[in-house]
Amino acid sequence: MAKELFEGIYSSHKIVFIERVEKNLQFYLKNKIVNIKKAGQEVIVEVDKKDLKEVLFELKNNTEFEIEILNSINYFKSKNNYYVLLSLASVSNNFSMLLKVKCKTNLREELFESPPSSDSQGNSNRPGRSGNIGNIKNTNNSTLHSQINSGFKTTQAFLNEYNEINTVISEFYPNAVFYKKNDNLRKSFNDIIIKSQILDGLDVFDIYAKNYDDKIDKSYLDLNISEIYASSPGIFNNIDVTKLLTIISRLDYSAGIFPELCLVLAVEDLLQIKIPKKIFFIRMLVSELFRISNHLYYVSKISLLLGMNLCLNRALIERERILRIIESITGSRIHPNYIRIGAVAHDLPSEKLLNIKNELKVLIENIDNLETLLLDNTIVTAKLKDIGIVNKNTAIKFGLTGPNLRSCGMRYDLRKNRNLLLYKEISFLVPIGKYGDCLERVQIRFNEMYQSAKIISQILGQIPEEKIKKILSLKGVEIKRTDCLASVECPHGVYKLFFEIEDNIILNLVPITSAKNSIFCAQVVLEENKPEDIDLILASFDISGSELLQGLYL
Amino acid sequence: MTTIFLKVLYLFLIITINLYIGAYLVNKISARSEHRRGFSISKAGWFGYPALKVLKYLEKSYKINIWEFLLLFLSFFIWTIIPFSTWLVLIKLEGDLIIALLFYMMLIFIFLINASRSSYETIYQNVSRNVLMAYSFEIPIIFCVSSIVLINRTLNLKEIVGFQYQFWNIVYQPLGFVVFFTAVFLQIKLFSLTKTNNLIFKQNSEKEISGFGRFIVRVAYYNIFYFLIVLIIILYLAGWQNVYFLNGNILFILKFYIIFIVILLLDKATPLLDDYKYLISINWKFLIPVAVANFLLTLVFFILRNVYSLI
Repeated sequence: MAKELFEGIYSSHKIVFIERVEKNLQFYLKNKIVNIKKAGQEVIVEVDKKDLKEVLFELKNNTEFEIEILNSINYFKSKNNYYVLLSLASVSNNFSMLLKVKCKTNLREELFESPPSSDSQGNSNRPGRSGNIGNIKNTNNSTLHSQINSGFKTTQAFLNEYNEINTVISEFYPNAVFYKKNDNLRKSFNDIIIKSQILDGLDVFDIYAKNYDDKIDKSYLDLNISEIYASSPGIFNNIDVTKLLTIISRLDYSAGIFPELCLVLAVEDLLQIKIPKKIFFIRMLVSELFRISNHLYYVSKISLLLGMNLCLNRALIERERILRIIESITGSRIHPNYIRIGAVAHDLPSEKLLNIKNELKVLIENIDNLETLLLDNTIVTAKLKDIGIVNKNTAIKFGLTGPNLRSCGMRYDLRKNRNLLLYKEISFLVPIGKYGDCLERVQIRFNEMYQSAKIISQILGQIPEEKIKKILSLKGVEIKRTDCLASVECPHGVYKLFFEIEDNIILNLVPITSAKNSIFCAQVVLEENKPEDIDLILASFDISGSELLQGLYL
Repeated sequence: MTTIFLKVLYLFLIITINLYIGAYLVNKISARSEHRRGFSISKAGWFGYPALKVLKYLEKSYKINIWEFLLLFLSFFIWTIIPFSTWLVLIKLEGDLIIALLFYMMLIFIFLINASRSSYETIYQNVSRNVLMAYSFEIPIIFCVSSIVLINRTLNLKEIVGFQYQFWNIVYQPLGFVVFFTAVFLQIKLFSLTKTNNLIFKQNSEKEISGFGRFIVRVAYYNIFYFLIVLIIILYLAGWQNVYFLNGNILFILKFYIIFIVILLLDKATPLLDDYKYLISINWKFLIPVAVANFLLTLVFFILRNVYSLI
């Protein structure tokens, strides 16, 4: 069956299901929808701001949809218009969608209303981002940069409108409040202040907490510092797909393959390219290797905070081993730059496969030893147990995904729930927890590493012997301006990429990641825990700093 | 007069050389047990490393306050009561066991006063917690010590060692030894030599307490470490008693370093202990009940043997 599906004789049941959802949306929302589009196994729906309340009411209460989860709120600017992106998901109907809300604020109108900004580098007539790409291509680099810089600034008019939209959303989804900017909290919660870079690996936010009776009363994680990165906008925007592929792994430095994979999957879905089986297997192999590498990095961070320096060094040694395997396949360790449209950069000869097989045995034995060393220690378990507990309901409310969600007892994994790559051909388990405390979150990671090793060993047995054909180039291909969306199961959670594409240029790249969900959940979870456990609880959520970059797309 | 002078010189040499070796071992053993290479300055070498560290502290600042001076003085003065052999003891007292314990408690209290000068609230909070925890670990220690006093019927450390010429106290008091050792180990972990909580200590205290004051605090930590080890050896492991043809003084050194290394390795095998609830539960659910039960058992045997002379 899988082979027939792969050859395209039957469309998968998931695609059929999504088509049904699309039809239902068209039926129930009728003239409120400006535009509807199926992207991969998800739906993108564009609505107007004035209809938002009715649309959200319908989506939440209609039994055909029953959308309970708000995963994220993002915003971007396209063709002189601001858009707010809502990532929504339904547990009971097992689908997710993207709601694109068109705002009233028009850039052209603002030009006359707002005074010229001081940091627009003397550019008196602020044109903003032009919708016509041809113009931008022809301008000089310096003028282009100033244009982009001035265009990326959020204006007060838009922020006011964003707040209005946020209040509407928070009527249906209470966690939308967290996406509002609130600097007053910083001043009121000042009993404990932990600035960024004090904690290892958690250097993208400051922590402000209110202390009461030796316990944290309320906490606020300030993400302002992550906006520093916005000083270099345009790195990920307005560039060629092939160029973007070389740098996109920086969006997740602990598991660099996943942004690449996500981008390529979206483009392949748009072009409806048929891909050889071997490439699917190679992609799965590399992504599982990166999953193990990321989880080992996670274990090293946790053991550093626990003071188990022996485990820290053991984990780093094993990570070194796996990074060398990755290097032998892709050519680099952290930023792979490996996946191409319709192919991968280098072929994988059978000699390397044997090498991986031998290394994998040693690796799994050592990881097993590492687990006994770390989790058989009663003091460690006593320390991790019963702190930072996340309920099933809280996890759903904040839209957690990935291992953090699975540790609460929800079995949700894109590898199983969607037709991601060729995971259907491979037998593996999705480990779940029960209580959702820090200990479970660490245990889940260990179990996932074993399952990844199981997947890799199956891939090594099943990988077909064929030569990979030429890599596709998008040069000269004419594509109309369209929205693209794809999602993969990253080690931190679900990783989504939304972007607009025209010809072979990527515009308005919006990464929709799980890091913010984890942070907002952590804010609530930190309450009634001890101040000494702050670092452990935050580290147990596996928040990737690079996923929190703000202002990238504005 | 000359003998006293010689004794002081010997004691000072023993302590400083041990501090030197201890600083080296703490660095090297902890590194090796963590699969690291450890600190090594090629030019300074293993011999020059601790001296270099002292110079580094002195370079930053050389001012100390009165409490730091008291800390330094007391941490060396504690050794005047502790006997190292039948000959090497400065002050001879009847109840030197009690006085040694009192000195130790005073030494810890000065840590608290020293920390109270800090402008950071978190440092004072944590040191005061540590000190209170250390005091609560004194309760099982006092029960263990009193059961040894019941067996040996003396408060003098020298006489306690003399009593163990035939059987070591560990044979009579295995439970007591376990409790005493764990209590000592946990106290050493509290004043952690090798690790500190990054979040609470490192960022603030390194700015505030640097220079010679920090050196003194570390010397005091090492002195406490050595004092507790020596107490274990004298009370349970027969101090400087000869075993057959083996010299007692050499055995004393051997026992000292074996316990030192065992504690260092245990320190590396256990995580950072800043979870006070866990420490309290260890203390009140394991150490104190076992210590009290051990004490009551010894009391029963003591009464049966000495009052009714049944055993």
